Amino acid sequence: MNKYSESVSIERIESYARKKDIEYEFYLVNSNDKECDIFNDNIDYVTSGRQEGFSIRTIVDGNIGMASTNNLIKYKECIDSAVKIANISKQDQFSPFSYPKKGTKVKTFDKSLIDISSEDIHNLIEEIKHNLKDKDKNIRISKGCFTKSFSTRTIINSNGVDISEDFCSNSLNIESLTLPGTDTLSIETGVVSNKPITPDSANGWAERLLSLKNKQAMNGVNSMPVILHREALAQIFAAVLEPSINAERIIEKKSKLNIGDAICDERINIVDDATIDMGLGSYNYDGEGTPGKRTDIINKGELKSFLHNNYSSAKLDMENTGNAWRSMSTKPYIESSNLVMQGGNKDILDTENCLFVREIMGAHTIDKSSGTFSLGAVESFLVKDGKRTAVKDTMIAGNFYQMMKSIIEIGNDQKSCYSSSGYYLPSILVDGINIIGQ
Amino acid sequence: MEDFIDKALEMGAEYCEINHSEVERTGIELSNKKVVDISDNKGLLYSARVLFNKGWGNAFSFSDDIDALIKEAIDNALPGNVKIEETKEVKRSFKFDVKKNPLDYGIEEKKDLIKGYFDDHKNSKIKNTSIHYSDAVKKHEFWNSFGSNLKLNDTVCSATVISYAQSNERMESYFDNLSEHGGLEILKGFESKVKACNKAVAEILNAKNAKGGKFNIVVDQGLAGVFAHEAVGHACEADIILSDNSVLKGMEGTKVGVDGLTIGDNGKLNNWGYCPYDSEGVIAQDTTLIEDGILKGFLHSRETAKVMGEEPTGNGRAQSLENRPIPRMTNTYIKPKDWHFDEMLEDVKNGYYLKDSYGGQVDTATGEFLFNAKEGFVIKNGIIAERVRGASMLGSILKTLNSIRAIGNDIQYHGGGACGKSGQYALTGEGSPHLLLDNITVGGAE
Repeated sequence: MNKYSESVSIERIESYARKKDIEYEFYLVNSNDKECDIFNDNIDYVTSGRQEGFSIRTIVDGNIGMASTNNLIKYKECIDSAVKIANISKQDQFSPFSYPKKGTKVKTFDKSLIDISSEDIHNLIEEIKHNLKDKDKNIRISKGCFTKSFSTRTIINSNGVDISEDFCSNSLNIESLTLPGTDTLSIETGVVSNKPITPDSANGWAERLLSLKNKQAMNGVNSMPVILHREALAQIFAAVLEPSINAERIIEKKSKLNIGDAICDERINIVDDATIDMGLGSYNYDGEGTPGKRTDIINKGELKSFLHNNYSSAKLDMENTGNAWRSMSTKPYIESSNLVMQGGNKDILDTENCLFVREIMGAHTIDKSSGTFSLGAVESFLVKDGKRTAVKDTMIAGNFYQMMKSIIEIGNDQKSCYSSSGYYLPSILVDGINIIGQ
Repeated sequence: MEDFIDKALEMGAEYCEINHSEVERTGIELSNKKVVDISDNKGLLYSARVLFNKGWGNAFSFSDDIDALIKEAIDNALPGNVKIEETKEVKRSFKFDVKKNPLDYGIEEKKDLIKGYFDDHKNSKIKNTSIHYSDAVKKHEFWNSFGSNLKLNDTVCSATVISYAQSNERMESYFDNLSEHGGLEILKGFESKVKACNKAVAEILNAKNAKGGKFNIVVDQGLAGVFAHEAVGHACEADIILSDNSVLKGMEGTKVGVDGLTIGDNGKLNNWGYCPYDSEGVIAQDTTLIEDGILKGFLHSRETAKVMGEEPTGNGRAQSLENRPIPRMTNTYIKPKDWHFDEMLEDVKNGYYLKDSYGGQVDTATGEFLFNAKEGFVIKNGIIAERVRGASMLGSILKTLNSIRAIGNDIQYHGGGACGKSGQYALTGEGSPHLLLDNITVGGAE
């Protein structure tokens, strides 16, 4: 039986590369996906399918070339193309291919996920719907989708690496949970999991939606402490922190950070950890075959390490943190595995006299380099004199780096964040953010 | 393919369509003239989509076993209540006019071309300039059970420049992009964009933060186009209307904006959102959304058109054969009027001039939107004065449509972006003249 492909065996593909007497690395993906779309409370569209394909990276005279295809019959053309690209690329002379190393033994998903049927999905949605309508019969899942994806990725290279790893997850993304009316209320929510999603995942969604009733506008420009809920913080981390600690961006001088910089309040500790059992960003091997590991990123507010792949660690002569990710058609890029920020001891979510920001709008527009942001504070509340009032037409503006040094308190609510899968963050109470109202 | 479709109908399908797509892509990224990445990718995909027991089923694969795809699609369909609007049989081929086909040029030639765009005389504070080039040569063929057979040969090229400048602790970046349907000929003049990008980032490095508050503002064609797209286009997508998630629901035929404001969407235009037929085989058209301030129409797929008793508009688009066609924009535009840009500045006297956008987001249910301007300038006594950084505008759709005091005479089309909706990306373009907006919430960290 073919280890990987249905149409052409990997042995045949590899043997063609071997005959060319080149250094090579194959990254092969075989995936099976199913998606059920929900529109106005009903599943009305189901799609499924299979994808397979590979990319080859090859080194010729120290230069690297890459090509990819999902038409495996044309594997020779693809390998030839990679060789041709290597001949002209004149890239840095750092060998990016891994050597065989023992991987970690981390559990990445619950095997019962594989057997989820269309009927299971239908029943899950029905039960969630029922529970939501128990809170208010007019609540509706206007748009959403359930996705199950199963993939096998294989890395084979001329250094003797030959590893395969399976990944499986399911997610329920609710694009809009709506309470129709004169002032329609709507939130975006969902859950991503590596074990079967259960109806209780939706606990609290209805309450979140209903709490947005009677929104009030704030006036003028205000300054008061802000609680950034972990979901809002996760979006800001993904937009600024993650690219700033990416070693490839350091090499290209796209990030201003240096190891040893005091970039946060000294109570901040952040690790990248691929070895958490059942972590949403966990893996035994990264996208180049380097074993996943745990790395201190920020310790007591000080930057301790960047995130690396093979290339950046060789170029900067720093330890490889095993953070190479890739898709079938892209070269390995650097991304965190599980980004974990240590929680504090206090419950800050009930803090008085502040703006509580649960969701933000426009995180993708934050300038990665400067960290300057101005964002819509949606699903946000003014907490004053024992009252919690939902606000509308409100912005928060500030700078990420100043904000991370102006922490009043770190919350004790560290949890997996839906808005950035693989992030485990607490909420924070911060100072120095401009709140702009009407 | 017609035989497969007949078979699907014999098996009980109420509607069937089959797609085949092939694409060849090249990507080149140079950072400070050095190669960071060169890659090429070839892909193909087949799909079958059926309406069976009034429920949609879709199946896709790299394999051309269409029989198996149809069976899988039928198995996937859950009984439902879906009906679709029929259209007449259309058999047409579309070929985008390409002068310099990317497939006729070697990768080395393309790399050297990109290298030539770098600016050798840039400011010393600029630490990095990166150019990312990509091209894609695409073929698509579509068949459906209404007898249609459509073919598209399309080519797109795109180049993006990003510059990073640093002074002490402060680092800023700026980017610009040139993306069009067509071959390498579209890159003509890209070197001036690279120069302008380097100049802008060096200036932003010395700019003060924008001051938040309420201001009268002038927005350029780029940002006004994003407004048309985010604030109006999305709220006019019929699936958003049907799920009660648009503030424009129930307002058809009523006044939603100022006199003279006309907004439309046109997939036939030779701009980034060019889409001569949609993913359901409906031919593109020019659809008026707002005419002289009055809400006139929505963007439809076959399904939403049937439910709302209207005609499909050619906006049922899917990112790829894996995805569901849903109402999406193509090229969304605001029709120009008669104001000159200088007159607008004079009229504002003191406020902001905001240019282009790093992106935006809208909550169509509440009508709230946010755009971050790529560039911001203070307007002082009717003249463009100092540059500011980090300016954004927050507003609500209906209020802002009624805050437009002046519409310029200088329409420009922009493209290059990919609009995200329901986890799918679509190439969309925007066109607009300058606009003058009254009393807008501007965000800034000052």
